[in-house]
Amino acid sequence: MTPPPPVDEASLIAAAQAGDRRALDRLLREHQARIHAVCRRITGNDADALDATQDALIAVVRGLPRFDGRSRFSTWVYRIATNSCLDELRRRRRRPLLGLPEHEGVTLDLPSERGSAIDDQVADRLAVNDALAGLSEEFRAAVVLRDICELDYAEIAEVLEIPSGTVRSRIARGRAQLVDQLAGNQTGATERPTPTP
Amino acid sequence: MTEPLPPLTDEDLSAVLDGEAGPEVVARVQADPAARARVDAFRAAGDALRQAPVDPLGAATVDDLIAGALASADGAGTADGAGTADHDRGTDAVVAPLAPRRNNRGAPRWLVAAAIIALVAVGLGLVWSGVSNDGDSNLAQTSANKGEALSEESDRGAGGGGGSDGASIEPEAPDTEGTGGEGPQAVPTTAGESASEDTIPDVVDLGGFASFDALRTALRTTFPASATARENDGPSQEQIDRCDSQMRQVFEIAEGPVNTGIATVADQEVIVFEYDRPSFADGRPTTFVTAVTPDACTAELSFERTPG
Repeated sequence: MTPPPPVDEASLIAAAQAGDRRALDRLLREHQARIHAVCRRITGNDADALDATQDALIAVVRGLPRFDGRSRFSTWVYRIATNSCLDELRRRRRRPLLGLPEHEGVTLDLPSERGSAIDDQVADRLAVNDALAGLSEEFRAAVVLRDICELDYAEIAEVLEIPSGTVRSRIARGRAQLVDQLAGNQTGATERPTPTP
Repeated sequence: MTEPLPPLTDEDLSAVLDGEAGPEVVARVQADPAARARVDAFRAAGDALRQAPVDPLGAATVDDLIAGALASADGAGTADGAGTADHDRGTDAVVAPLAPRRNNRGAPRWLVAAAIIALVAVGLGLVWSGVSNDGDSNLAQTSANKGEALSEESDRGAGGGGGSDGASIEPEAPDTEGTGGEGPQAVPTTAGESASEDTIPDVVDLGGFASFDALRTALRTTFPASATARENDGPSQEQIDRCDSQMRQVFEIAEGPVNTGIATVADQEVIVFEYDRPSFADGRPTTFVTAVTPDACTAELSFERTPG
């Protein structure tokens, strides 16, 4: 199947807002990958990421008639995705755990003496996943929005509905923890963000 | 006398990295080797995040997600009030899930319902046409087991079934709620029933090995075809399922293992899983082989086997 010809996003949004179902379908398809990527990073596992992605896509559909173009569409989508992820994490806290906690016992030891190149790559991937999972949700969201979504501080402030100074602080502290954990210098309890004023 | 400048903080350095710092702070960082090293460390952490890829969703899963979202457009305004307290922040949209999706992975609900309805209909037909009581009760048993097996399949964990993950928007069937926490081992099977057998590979006995290198060598080219069925000892089905779940979560594997075995390496039992997944290196289809301890699910061995 050949990919559909490119259409500028503003036209697609306008058509979708006007009730064009094919435009809406295409708009969702063009953004689902980035929504899922954000959700996978923020929730830390596939199952919750999938649930949050579904919630986010539903929210995009329902909120689209009220999207007024004051922010970039991608920023608006990230905002919805991030909130869906944080909601999913809250729901997860309320749910009884059927298996093990998400990150308990996942410290996979891949000894280098019997390792190979793939072991190293797997270990790197685990280290990044574990380090990110070790951040508090607030720090993780801020770091993901900055380093993966490449939003600027003002956009992150808009997405998370916090002051720009808080964004700056959360990103810095999240990165500092990330560096420590990737370097193997994890220091006890995970730092928590101070409450938003 | 001039006030000494306050020391540079991580906030300053992080802002420099992001281009959000003022020129004075940028100049101070450039003049300070320790600060530059810290900025480099922040940059490296960001690079590591970006380079650890998120596996894209399968086309069928995307289709289901989109279909679920589009269906919500049709039902907008009818599902309000469900869970809105959690969703009234961050967007004007009311993010009200149409139905819990936690147990919807695997076989679609409509398929489960259709299978049950069809079997019940056949049963009623047989009763009506005068089949003996024995035949009737056997059929009822079969119907119940089919329904349970299919429900279990739909509960079997993230990504399983590869297609309808999280996308179904049908209301939860009450009878399937109760099966969510029981795990795959809870599937009752009777002689002749194989609804779940084709999705849960047999666990085989791979034998003993002097070292993990020896195990790696044995598994390098293929999963041993001559492996024998496992005796009913060693790691429990619960341990196997738990480790499988952890491996799939950690390595972002959508489907369950294609092969599972138990090996003994220097008197230590390990569970060997083989999964089909894209290569960590280049995304090509490979078989990911991992051997884990049953208690902590610690990976003692892992490698990719490339076809051909």
